[in-house]
Amino acid sequence: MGLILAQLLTGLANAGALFMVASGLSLIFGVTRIVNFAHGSFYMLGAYVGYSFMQVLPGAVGFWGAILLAGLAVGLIGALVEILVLRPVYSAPELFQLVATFGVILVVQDLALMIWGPTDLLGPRAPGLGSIVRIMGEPVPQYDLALIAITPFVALGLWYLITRTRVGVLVRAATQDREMVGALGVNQRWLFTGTFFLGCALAGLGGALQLPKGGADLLMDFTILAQVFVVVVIGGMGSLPGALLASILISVLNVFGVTFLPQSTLVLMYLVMVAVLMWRPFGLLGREEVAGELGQVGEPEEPIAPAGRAVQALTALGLAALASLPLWGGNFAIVLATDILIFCLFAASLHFLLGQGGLVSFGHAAFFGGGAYVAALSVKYADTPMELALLLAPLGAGIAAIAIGYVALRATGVYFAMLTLAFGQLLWSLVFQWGEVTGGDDGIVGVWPASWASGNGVFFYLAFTFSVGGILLLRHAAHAPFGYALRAARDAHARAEATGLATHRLQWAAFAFAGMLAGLAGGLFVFSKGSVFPNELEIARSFDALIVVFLGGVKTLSGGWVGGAVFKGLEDTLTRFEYWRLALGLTIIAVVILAPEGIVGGLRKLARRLGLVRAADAPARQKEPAE
Amino acid sequence: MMTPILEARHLSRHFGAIRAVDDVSFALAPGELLAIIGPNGAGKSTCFNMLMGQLRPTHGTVHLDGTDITHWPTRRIWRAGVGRTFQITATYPSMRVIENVQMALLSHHGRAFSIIPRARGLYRDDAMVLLETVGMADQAGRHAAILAYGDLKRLELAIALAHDPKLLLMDEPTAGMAPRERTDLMRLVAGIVRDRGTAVLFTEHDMDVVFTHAHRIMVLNRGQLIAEGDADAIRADPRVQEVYLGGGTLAL
Repeated sequence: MGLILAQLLTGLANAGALFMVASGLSLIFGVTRIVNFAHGSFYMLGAYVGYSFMQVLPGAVGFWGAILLAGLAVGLIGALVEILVLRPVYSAPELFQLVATFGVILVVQDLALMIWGPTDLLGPRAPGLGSIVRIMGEPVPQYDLALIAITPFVALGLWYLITRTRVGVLVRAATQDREMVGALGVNQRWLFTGTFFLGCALAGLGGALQLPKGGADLLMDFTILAQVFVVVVIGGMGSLPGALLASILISVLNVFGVTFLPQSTLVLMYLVMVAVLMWRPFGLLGREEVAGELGQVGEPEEPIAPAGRAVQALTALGLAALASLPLWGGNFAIVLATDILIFCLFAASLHFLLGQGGLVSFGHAAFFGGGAYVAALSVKYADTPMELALLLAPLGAGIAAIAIGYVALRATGVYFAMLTLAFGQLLWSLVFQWGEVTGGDDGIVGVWPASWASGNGVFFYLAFTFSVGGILLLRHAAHAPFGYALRAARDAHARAEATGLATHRLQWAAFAFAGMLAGLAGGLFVFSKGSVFPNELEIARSFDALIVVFLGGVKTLSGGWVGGAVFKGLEDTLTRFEYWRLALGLTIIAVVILAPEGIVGGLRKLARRLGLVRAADAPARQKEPAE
Repeated sequence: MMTPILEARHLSRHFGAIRAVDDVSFALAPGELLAIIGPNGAGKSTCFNMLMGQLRPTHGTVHLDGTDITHWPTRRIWRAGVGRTFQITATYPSMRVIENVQMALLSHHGRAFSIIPRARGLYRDDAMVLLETVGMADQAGRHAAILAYGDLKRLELAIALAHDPKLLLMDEPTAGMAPRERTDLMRLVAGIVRDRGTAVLFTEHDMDVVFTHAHRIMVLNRGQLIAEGDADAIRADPRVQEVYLGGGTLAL
């Protein structure tokens, strides 16, 4: 009994910080419709900044003052980020802003590394609250009790702000109908900035408050981000009471999980999330999202056309040059090119789903990593030859996509995205925690290609064939009736249904198709590396693909692989430097601001301005413009 | 009387306490051009959505050619030969004009899932014929997203005609069009009714259009059918005058 009570108290104490971060994310999403990937970074900053303040401010007043100051400082940093990074891209497709916030994650990671160094910082104890209390014989840290006492005040304060003040009225109004609020003369710019300040301040506060419990380290951002997404989705996007409820649920669940089912805590959390979303697709207290964001906001997409002669010739030339690489390139170049090719196939598969289907998946790594693990496991346990494993990888990933798509496609817009994220994380946690079979964190090693393909040159040709083949297949599918029907379902759902198109089945098929090709990329990946680790299934990997798709350009046909090649090439070049994340993050932010239509979209615009290609609607229609 | 092409029996749709459509029954003969009129909020669009399977009726049934289609999904009703246009035009803005029509033809021929051929070459000639029918052939290669509203309406009509429907549901086909365009479009629709024997059910706010072209008119008010008959009968009906002019004479 005492143990259970103590567990419950620990869970409630943990819920505090989680709630603050989650409510901030929820507020920001509600008002600005931005899913702030960087929210975990603000939490991490809160911890670091709070730590620094505590070093200089003395005593109890200093401790609590440092926490408040940390919240304030992080709020200001958040507002600054909003002004500098997000304001220039509000006119771009909404989800494009995700890419910008991803750039912020990278920048913050390296800045934190520069300022506070790589070692984990041990949080100072709260003055006067450093010991433990015995409750029914069980030790409970005093600070936990303090957190349990503080959280309701924060929640109440927030509730008061939102329901009883003019600012709150604006925030609630904007959450319900942003355009209307703008039409009524509210200055949206400052409303957005203010919301960012508040949301980030909450995250910073959460980060600083948990210092005595968890300290500060450089992995905090992604660790909390995954949890916060779970909380916000279970509670309902944009709902504060939902965030509170879900924070408590998840924290308590985690604490009990650690005690009673240490092997499956993570799995448990994501299972709960999937279960809740299957029961209530918009979260416990969330509302249905009107008008799903499909990555299509902004100028309408241009009609697609097969490449013209010139582009075909150029492509053939480029492919021939690439194919001749093993003849003149060094070993390093060959391995790098193999990496890039495989990544391009992965990115192109997500690009198909997102660009043609309007289906924004946050969990595409499930199929890349899934394919990789299918291949690796079949080699490890059944001595499957490489040729067969490369067939099983897309097959397994395709089956997984059919299963996941069945559930996820019941929702639309951001909830669809969150469901795919949940399933991706579920798969990741399964692999991570089911160590006896998957090797857990140690991964599966020694998965080498068949002897005929073991040379780097030969394997390059293998990857070249499958990746280029896969990308061409995706491209062909976009030109085929299937691709047209998918765009029809995306463009005008009611019209598509009223002309006989089974939109749901079309999207499901596209999900499976994209999953299969991601699985193929995963299979190639395992054999190129000889090993696979759970991080191939992680959120970060899904985000990589997502970033790349937007970076390349959603409303173009080649955005996926172009973005993939640029991103991977850039990453591989930059990782040689110490602060490569900073450079990559800044590059991403720069691209987002300078070319909101992505690299391909931006180049197309430039080429048009220079008169190199004709606009899609030019009077002469004999020659179709290449994209 | 021969079997009506479309028959609604006691059709009702309630939203909470609001009876958007309340016990409406009517029938439509093949080749008939039937108009539903009524003030805003009378239940016209709700009625339409129930006929096309986009909204489930609270009570009542819909029969197409004698078959009960009340609970069929929209696309099955379409396959059974019903086309529709929307009050706010629904076309595919990412495609060219001709591709919009080709898409409907692809669906009609059951090839939506095909990944073998390229779509742009398929059913091009058929699509051109349809575009000629609605007078849009010269704009076939244009980007649908930049069309003028009247052209979009005509494009939508071409899409709705792609599978040669026996029944066409048109929700405010001329809304947002210039007067000249309205006359042209309705003349076009009347021609289709004459030539192909297609039955057309349409809602409309423009009384000129209604009285000139409709064979028969139904008046909805607050979800209820309050009058039905030809143009003269409707003009003379005191309840209709009441609804439209609050008791004065209907200057039509």
